[in-house]
Amino acid sequence: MTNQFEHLSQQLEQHQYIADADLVTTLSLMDSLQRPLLIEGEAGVGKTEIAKVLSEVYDCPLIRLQCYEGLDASTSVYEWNYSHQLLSIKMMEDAGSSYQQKESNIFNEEFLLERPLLKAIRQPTSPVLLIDEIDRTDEAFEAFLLELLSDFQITIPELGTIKASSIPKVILTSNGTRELSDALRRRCLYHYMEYPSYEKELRIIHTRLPEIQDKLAIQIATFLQQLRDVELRKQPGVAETLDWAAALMGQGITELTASDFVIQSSKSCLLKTQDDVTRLNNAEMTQLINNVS
Amino acid sequence: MVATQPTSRLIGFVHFLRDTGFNIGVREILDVLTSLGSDALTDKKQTKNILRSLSCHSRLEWQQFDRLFDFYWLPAMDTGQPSNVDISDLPQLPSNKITGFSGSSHEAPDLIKDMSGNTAVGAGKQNTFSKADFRFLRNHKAMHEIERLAEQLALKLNRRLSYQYVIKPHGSKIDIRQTIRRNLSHGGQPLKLFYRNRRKKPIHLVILHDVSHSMTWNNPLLFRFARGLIRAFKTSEAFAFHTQLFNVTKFYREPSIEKMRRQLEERNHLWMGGTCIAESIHEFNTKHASTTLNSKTVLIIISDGFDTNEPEQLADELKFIKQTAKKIIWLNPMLGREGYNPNKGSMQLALPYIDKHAPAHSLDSLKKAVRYIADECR
Repeated sequence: MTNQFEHLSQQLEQHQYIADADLVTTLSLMDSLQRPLLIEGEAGVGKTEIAKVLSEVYDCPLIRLQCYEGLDASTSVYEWNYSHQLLSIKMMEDAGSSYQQKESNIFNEEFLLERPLLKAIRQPTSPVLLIDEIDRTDEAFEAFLLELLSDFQITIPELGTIKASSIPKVILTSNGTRELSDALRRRCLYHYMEYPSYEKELRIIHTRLPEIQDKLAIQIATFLQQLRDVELRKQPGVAETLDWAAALMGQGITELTASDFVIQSSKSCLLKTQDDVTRLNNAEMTQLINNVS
Repeated sequence: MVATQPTSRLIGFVHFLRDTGFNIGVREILDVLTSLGSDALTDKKQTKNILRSLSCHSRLEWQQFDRLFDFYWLPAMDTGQPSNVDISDLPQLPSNKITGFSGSSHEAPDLIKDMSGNTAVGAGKQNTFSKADFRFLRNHKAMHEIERLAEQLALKLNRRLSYQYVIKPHGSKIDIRQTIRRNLSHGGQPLKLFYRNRRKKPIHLVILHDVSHSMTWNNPLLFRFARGLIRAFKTSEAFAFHTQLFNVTKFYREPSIEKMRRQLEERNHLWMGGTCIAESIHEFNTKHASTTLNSKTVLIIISDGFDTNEPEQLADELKFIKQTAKKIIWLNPMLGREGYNPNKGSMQLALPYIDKHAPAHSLDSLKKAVRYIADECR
């Protein structure tokens, strides 16, 4: 089993995703137990990215459902193609079909529009199904998901129950904007993703930006660790770190100094709210940069 | 079948976690045994990772797992000596203590004491929660659940107010009646489809939330309720007060409850000393009213009405607000309780300026409050 974990870890790294041992274990269990995985954590720690990378690792399609308030079955599971159904009824009027014939004609696969969840369970090979930001949906949709997550089946009243032809690898992400129900949690494996440690962030920078100078990478990783200690409304995530590192490299900067460009780029790449920009003025940003240079 | 020693130790650990408040069922136990298989306990790190993945279902459990694991396993794995890991200061988990804002309790799980001291258990938990007075909730699970429901209730108000429909050429639900009606010019042929969409009207709420010491018992739930309102209505604002007034909108909007609590506590915005309602509202009127109040504003005061200022002063300040705001709703956790008389003291003089003086001592009363607020916002 240890070999299995190591192998998955290497595969993730080959696809430029640096995962901790506990995440690798959880991903491996998700695959072997065929259970959905709920990943919680702050925005920008790599929750969505793991689904994308997994689809590359397993060489399977990624089907994504972006959640939002008001999301319902017609947007996430299936919808009937009403326009075509109406046209079809009109065309059948002259054919003298019985009511039963008409009904069976219009409620069939031809008029069924697949949405992400239905599409996911009808794939011939297991896809990765990403249900992103589940905490944005309302409780009714969360309850609706329970059937899919426990039995991998979906019930369409007109067609009956559709069972998964292959069990999708389901990843649900949540930013914790509201509490999820115990019923949903119980059906999933769980992983909480923290901001990366200094060592991990340094590895991520080197993996994603292989041309970066060692000294600059170390300074950026150190700076980000310091910045996350400052009480900000929106802490910078890994994506912000990489954006900033790329911006600095693009300007040919090999060492972090408190120049105008470094300060301005750090603000525009790392701080995402007006509160945070106000909280960290130029002098404080200069001080933080000087600490690592 | 007799369990082998590693297996029985594993099951013992799962029971230990369950006793500590983890939500672990038979399925998790089977998954643990299946996943560990013959590797059980040979690789400590791996065993730990597998056990954590299978037994944790929330962030709190995730954060506590390491210490609980070390507490249970380290003596056996490493030295054979009793563990020196201290778990007494772990954050509160469901079966141990209340994790709400108001303090802690060592009451047994699933018990809710009602006003007469009786207990209600098991079936009909939802109803019991609904009627239970916030002061008498002594159990973490009940507390946690009711806090969640209070916030959900506030968030639902947003949906309740957006149940007005508008017909558009795009959307998710076809309005058959409008489709037929609007296609009459085509001889009734449904050439164009029309959809029914929810209309969202911006609602402006301002909350003045009493966080003085006298409100301590009520605040875990009312905090979540106020926070739900602020998060549901993007243009709304919240102010907390005890002897001073603070703008707490950005804290209430904070997605993480833990972070919100920490930030409020760090700034001494919680449960401080006495209550100066009139002075706090005066501060609101002089510093914030001009920018936050308008003719569409519904002002919600969450307070027990115990004021150390002169009763006339409170009436004057409310009169000032009444000139600008659309409605004033006072949610009072004392109102639904025996022995409270609103017709004396500050409240007596304040009542003429309040459009709705409503109880807020239980989930049921908050449900009714949502209805009042919805009616006033229309």
